[in-house]
Amino acid sequence: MKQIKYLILAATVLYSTACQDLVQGINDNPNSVPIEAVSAVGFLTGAQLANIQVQLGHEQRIVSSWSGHYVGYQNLYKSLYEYALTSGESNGFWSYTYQGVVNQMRYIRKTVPSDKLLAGISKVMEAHSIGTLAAAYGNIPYSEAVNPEISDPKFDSQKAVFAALQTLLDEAITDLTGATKRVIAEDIHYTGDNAKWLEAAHTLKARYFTLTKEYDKALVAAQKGISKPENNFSFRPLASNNLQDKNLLFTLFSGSRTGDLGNRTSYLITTFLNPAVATSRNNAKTREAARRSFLLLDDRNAINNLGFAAITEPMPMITYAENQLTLAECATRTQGLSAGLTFLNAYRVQLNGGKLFRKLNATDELKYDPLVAADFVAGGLENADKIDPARALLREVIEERYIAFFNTWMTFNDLRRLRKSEADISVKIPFNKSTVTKHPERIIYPQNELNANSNAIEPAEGLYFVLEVNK
Amino acid sequence: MLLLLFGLFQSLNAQQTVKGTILDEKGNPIIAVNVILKGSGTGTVSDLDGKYNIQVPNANSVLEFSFIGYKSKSESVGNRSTIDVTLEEDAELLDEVVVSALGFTQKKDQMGSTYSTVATQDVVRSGETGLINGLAGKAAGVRVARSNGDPGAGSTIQIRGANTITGSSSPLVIVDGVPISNSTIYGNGNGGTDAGVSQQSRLNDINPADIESIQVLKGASAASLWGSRAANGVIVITTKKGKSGKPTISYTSSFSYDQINRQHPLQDKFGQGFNGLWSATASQSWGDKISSRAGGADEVITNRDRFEALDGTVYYPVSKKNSQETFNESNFDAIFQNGNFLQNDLSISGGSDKSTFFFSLGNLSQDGIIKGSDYDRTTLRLNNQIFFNDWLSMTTRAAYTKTSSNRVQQSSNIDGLYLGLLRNSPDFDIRDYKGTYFNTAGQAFPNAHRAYRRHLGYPQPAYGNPIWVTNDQKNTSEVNRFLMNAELNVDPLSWLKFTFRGGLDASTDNRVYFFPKLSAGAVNGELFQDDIEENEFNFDAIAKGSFDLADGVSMLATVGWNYNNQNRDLNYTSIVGFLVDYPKPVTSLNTSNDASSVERIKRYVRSNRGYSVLNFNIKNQFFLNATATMEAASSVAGSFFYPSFDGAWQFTQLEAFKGNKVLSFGKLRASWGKVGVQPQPHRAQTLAEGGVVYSSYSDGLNSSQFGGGFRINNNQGNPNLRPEIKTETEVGFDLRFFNNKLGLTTTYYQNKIVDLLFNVSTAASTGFTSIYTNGGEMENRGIEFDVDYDLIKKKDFGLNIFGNWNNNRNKVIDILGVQSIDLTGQSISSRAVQGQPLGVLWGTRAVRDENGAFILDKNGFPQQASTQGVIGNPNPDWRGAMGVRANWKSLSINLLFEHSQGGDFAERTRFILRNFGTHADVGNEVTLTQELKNVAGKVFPSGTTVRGNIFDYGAGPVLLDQAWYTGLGGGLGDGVINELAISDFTWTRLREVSLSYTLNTPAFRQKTKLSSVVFSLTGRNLWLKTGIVGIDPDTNQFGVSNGFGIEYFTNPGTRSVLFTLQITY
Repeated sequence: MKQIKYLILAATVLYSTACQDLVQGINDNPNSVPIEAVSAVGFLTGAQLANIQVQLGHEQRIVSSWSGHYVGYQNLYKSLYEYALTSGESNGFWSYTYQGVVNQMRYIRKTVPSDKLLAGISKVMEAHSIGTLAAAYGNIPYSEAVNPEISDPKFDSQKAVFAALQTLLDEAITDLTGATKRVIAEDIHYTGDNAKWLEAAHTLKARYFTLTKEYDKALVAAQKGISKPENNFSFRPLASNNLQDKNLLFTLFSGSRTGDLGNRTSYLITTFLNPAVATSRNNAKTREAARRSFLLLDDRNAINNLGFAAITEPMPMITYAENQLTLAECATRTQGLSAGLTFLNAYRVQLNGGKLFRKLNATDELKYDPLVAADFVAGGLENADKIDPARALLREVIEERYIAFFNTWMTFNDLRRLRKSEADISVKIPFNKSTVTKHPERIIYPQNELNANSNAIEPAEGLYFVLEVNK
Repeated sequence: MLLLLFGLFQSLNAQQTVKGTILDEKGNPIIAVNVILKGSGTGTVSDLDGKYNIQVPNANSVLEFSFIGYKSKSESVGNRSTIDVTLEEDAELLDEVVVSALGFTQKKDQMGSTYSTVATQDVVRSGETGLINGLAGKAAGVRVARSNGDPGAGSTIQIRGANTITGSSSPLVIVDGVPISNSTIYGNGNGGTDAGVSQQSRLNDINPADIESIQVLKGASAASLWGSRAANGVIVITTKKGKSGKPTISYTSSFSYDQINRQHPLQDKFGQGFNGLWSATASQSWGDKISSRAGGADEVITNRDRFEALDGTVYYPVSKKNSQETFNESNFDAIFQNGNFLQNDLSISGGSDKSTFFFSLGNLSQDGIIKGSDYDRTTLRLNNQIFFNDWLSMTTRAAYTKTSSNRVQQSSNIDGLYLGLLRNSPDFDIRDYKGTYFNTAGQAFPNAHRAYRRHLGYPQPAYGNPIWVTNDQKNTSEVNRFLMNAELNVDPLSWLKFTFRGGLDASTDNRVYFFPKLSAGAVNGELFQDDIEENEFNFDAIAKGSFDLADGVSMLATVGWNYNNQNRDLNYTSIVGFLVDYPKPVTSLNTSNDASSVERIKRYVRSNRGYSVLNFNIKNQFFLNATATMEAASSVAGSFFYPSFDGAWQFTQLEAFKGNKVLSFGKLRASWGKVGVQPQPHRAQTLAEGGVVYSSYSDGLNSSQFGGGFRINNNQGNPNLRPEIKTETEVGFDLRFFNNKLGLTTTYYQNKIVDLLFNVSTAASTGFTSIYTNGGEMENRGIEFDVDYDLIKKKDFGLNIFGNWNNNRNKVIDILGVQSIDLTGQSISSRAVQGQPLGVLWGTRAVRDENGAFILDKNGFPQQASTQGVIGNPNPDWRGAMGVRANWKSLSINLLFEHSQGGDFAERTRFILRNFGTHADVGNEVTLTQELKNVAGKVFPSGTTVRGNIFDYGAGPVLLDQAWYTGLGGGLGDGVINELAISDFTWTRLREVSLSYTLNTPAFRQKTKLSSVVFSLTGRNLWLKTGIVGIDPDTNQFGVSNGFGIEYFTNPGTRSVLFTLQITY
């Protein structure tokens, strides 16, 4: 009898374990779809919107306010304008770059590796967002970033990141060249047009070579870059009843931030383009009144904006203007004045023809007459201070870039690229505060990265740490 | 397995019949005594007259008679056919039975961990409408914290401190062996936990009158059978059963009369306005001195706009304020009333030797102290027990609860009651709150909402008029809940018993939040409907076997398997913006699709556990218990093992203590165990999310506008989630002195919780920005005392003193380097901060030197520090309760005092009302006897009479006036020194006082045929001593939450007097 008792006890104990099978599948999320359930292309639109914020959003406006383009009038933008930037300000920028763009793009490539068109697009998107980040901050995580195995990605040198992006863009160009054209509705920029993506990839290559001062390579890349304004890589707002698809500046001015940031008293508007100011860019062959009106924003009454911040005005990110001006700059640098001048004049034809901005007031003067070599000789129209004619042309190109890059990172990038090494041709912008003697050279790393990534170390010089490529 | 056992089962050929009567020492029959034929496992029970009848095989048979509370007795049959037995009461065992986490009774003196028993009559007598509040002060280490005094409002129960940071702190509630929900769900329409209305605790759906016993299992070892659900302790509730015999009919009726417990003191000397000037639109009451006005009617402008109230009263713009009338009292009376509730309970129980039943029907109907607030609960229960034969019995229990209530918006909420009432200026009469506004052109705007600052009802109100809040806004909840439970007991052999038990808890809660057009926070009207469905199914199969291992060593082995499935569906619909102005919450208020939204959130958790318990009894002196639980839960990766051990040593069994006159019983116990907190379900996968708004700064782009699409969620899925694991060790004594008259229980416990779960920010460069993960550590330790002393225990006179005490110390050891985890939000928040107790108060501080003294500005005032930090700790130093039970003949008296010592409380309402100029603190005028400066440096010469207070922050007296109270020294947000809103949390209260008279003399029973009639008078919360002004500190802005110690325009607490009549047939 006793044995039977123990037998039963032992048998029951054996039966009494927890069964994994019974709870299988219950924890699958009943409220959302897992990523596997979404086709790869479904992740493209969101990433493009994230990239738009990276390229055109808050951080861009901050650095543009340090570049003579914007003025922070009140609240947060006022302190940011006065260089009081804290690490908390960059959290969103980094998460949109790495999480919003790179993670999504890599997932697309991993899921549909044979789709060359999507692979090419995803690589251009990744190169675009990471390149902007590298230019803004200097050393950033890249080779170890967005890797599920690595929780603390190391920081690569700025030059290494740009080198890796050139390789990535080369791969993108190979993919896009080999891809068959098809309509991708989820692609809000080019709807899957590989020819346009190829041009954008080349202009990006040229941009990064320019940033790393490899002007000969930039000239080669730009030859295949964006060939006409219609091919611009832009954010095109929609004509809906919803505010959440509109020109970002219009949206900003519409909400509670009305009057916080604008350009009505900026260096660009009040001085640089202003026909009433003797030292402005206006001269016999160039009249900027119409372009100035187009760029002048009404930050206090959004609906009054008919130009750059009009409700559905496209917002350019990679453009014909950039490509043409890169050609002009690099050709001047590597081939001389006349080669550069040709590219600049081709660009001025587009300006004059109203292809690059709209003339808002009939009375505004608009004139971009062809420039000739004589304008750049010492004492000429564009060389009153009698410097080397090629330098004078470069200065004119850089000035043109300063305007053409309005509301993009490239303004800040050009200022830093030339400020140290080529002060003679760089645009001289004023300080926003009388007590400072240096312009910011970068942005401070985000707080979340500093907290969570043991490899993140903020340089002691902070904002004023001069980046590798700008020395 | 059953087949196997049936095979083993052998029936016996009866050869001899034995009968007899079983009596107690007084000669009264004892019903349901077990009469067992030794060695066979067969037996019977005594009937209503104490009689039994059993067949035995032969004259060598031995009968064993046993009954709880009596010493067992054995009788050899011999040749007797009648064996009458008298059982002696076993004094040691009386009231010493506890119910384990599995629902089985066990002898308390053999347990190695702490079991606190709360007598049901103590809960019923407390005068609380909800079971949870009835537990307050009844057991050491059990903290019951109310949300407020709203009818049906939920409460937080916390046992031995906080055991989780982001999980629920509610203990597991087991009713009749089956877990039931004690959730408090805030849902969508409530708009967060810092505002909205008081939500209910689902445990309060149980009618306290249906409860037989309540046990609180505080320690990890007693609860470890429930694995990952037991870290917060377990409350084991057993409902009533019928007893065989004459049916007992009991009817109880209680009427309660409720009042506001504490009222915020307000000033009525100064009018609406600022800088001493009256203004009808000012938010503050720093206006003119009311007694200096001309008196009489105000001068008005009759040719502009106007407001016509519902009763025809017309209000015009005021050109000169003459009236000296103030309205604090009439405004208060327009909102508050004497609340009341009527509770009626009917129960019928009885049965035969084959079956018993318990039936009850109860109704509670309550009108709150705030007009419009109510709570109605109807409960129905039928517990049924059938004995098919002597080895098979079944118990079924079914209960239904319906509650319906209307709640009133409160706290941080411009549609809330107190925000509009207490900020209201003393010279504004709120009573004409609704009417028609006519603009200068004569255009009419009907249903206009008139409130202070908008005295003509136009434009929309800044804060809701309190009458609008209580009368026009509706916040209803309708709960339907079923609890079902069936248990089959199979006792095939004397040493073996099987129990199969299944239970279902299913409830729906349909909530409506209705804000008519022109509500302060919903100008175009808003309607939210939250439909919450919860159900939990539980099944246990349990086998128990007893084994004699050696002489004097026995073992009880329990093995079992549990299956538990919990489903929750939250269905949220809303309509924002009404096309029609109609005062009822109907869905056709706006027929446009764009105005409505639907959301459904489902939550599924399933687990199964195998467990075994071994209880060893060594010579009735040493008791060792070991539990092993293996659990697989859907939200956890892999299976988890929860072991526990406890031991008890009754050292008074030693020869040395035998016959000791002082120490009658002594037990040393120690236990160790592991329990857990489950991770949130559905967090394992990385999800694709749609409808993402990409915004860098007020410039959002919504992916829904661009054809939809998805993104890989920024919150990374975590397939490796583990439960939070709490490991607890406790040691203690159970001592009884002077022939068991004085009982003392003391326990020291310490626990550590590791693998705490929370969301951690990750480096964006990993591709994700946050992950819900395990990490972090927290600990609790403390001492508990329970004492119970029968000073006098005579037939006609009894006097008993009891008390309990606990000093839990909590510390957050590590939270993965995160600076703090905000549990509540708001300008003063309750947080987890490394190195601090959980729940510390956080906010803006004053600048202090290294000794903690204020660093004052040049005028002698504190200055605001540049960073926020810890400004208080709401955890008390200790809590205790002490009570008296006395009876003299038919009269009995009970008293229960409760005390909470130390800790900090944020009196935010008072602090903000100083800014608004309505609090009595800022209604004073002082005549200066010396020259003083205010915070702005303005000098007030001696002899000046000025509105304000004189205070010394350390650099000599300064004048606190409007400049201070509307600057750093009062108000909302982060622009003030919020530290100055912190006060001492200490309170003492008379939780309960009751007096009852029982009529049950033989003559009365003869004449009325009734068993007894009891009249009781109970006072609840009648006396409160605290430094907190204006509100009962047993209040929490965040309701049922892990964050506490903050009050912000939170609805007030109550006190009551109850009359109860109980008639038993």
